Amino acid sequence: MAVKPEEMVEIAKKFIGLETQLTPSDYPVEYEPIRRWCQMVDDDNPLFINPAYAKKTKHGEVVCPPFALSIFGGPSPGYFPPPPPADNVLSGIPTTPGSSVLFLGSDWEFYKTVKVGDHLSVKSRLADYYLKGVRFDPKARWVRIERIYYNQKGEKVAVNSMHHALRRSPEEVKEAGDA
Amino acid sequence: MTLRKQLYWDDVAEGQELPTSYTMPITWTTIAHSVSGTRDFNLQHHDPDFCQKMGYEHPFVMLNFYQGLLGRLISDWIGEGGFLSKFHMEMRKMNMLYDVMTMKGKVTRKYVQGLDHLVDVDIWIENDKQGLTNPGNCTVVLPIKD
Repeated sequence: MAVKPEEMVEIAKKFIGLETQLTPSDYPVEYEPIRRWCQMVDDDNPLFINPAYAKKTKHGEVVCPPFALSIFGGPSPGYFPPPPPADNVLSGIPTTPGSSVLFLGSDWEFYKTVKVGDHLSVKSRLADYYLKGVRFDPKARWVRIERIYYNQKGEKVAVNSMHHALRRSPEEVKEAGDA
Repeated sequence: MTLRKQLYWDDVAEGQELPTSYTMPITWTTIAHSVSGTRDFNLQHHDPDFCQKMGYEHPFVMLNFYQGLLGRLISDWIGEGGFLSKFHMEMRKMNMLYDVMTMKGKVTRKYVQGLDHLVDVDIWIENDKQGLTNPGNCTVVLPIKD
């Protein structure tokens, strides 16, 4: 039987403040993912997409657009090949079947410029976890997770605090008697 | 490709609107680009059948896409010598397939802190159907003129 949202919140609260180990990304910061990031927002800034130009600037290499750090910080949903199940201090938090993630907001602090060739490592920290209704689920779980990015020199380059809600489908809400 | 003009702290005025505002419609191609660029393969961002099942009219764009859009607004404005220091964004309403988004910004404060010359900016995304969808703000560090 699925864990009820109220029970999940009580379990998850015990994990608040815990940090995962610092984990290196599978790949270094590369040209092609940055190019696709820029294509997505129609950004033709040569500092991001033209290696010959970027090498002549004070940066000496193609710069990673600030928010593209997230694509070099580890697997994302649907990543191929699927990563093994998480084995860290936060992996004990239970999940509910069919959960859908709704991102609510994001905060960043940047400390260093990241360039092609850098190799990022990331650790995560559960900052908050509580119950609050959304349009389709009166018992959605709201979560704030911080991700701390380091470069290959061990320098902290950025901290991202993401706020999201985990919600069930209308059928799952009805089935649980929470409609 | 277009070189970005360098912005200097000296030339910024409180209350000024960012000249790098731009508009982007969300078409199926935009949806494809957003999945390609963000590597976010969550079904609600590209699968219309899944969206219907979950109660959404259309696929909607994701956090990293919004951040990319606002990131471009900022980096186009500050030039290569500027540095984005802090960023905050809320996702209050969804931007879905067939919406048209516009990214905008306005300078709220200009000040010096230590050796840094800083500017605070309100930034946001609005769409053609719902108005303001993603309010936010940021702080940038800018070079000064010799």
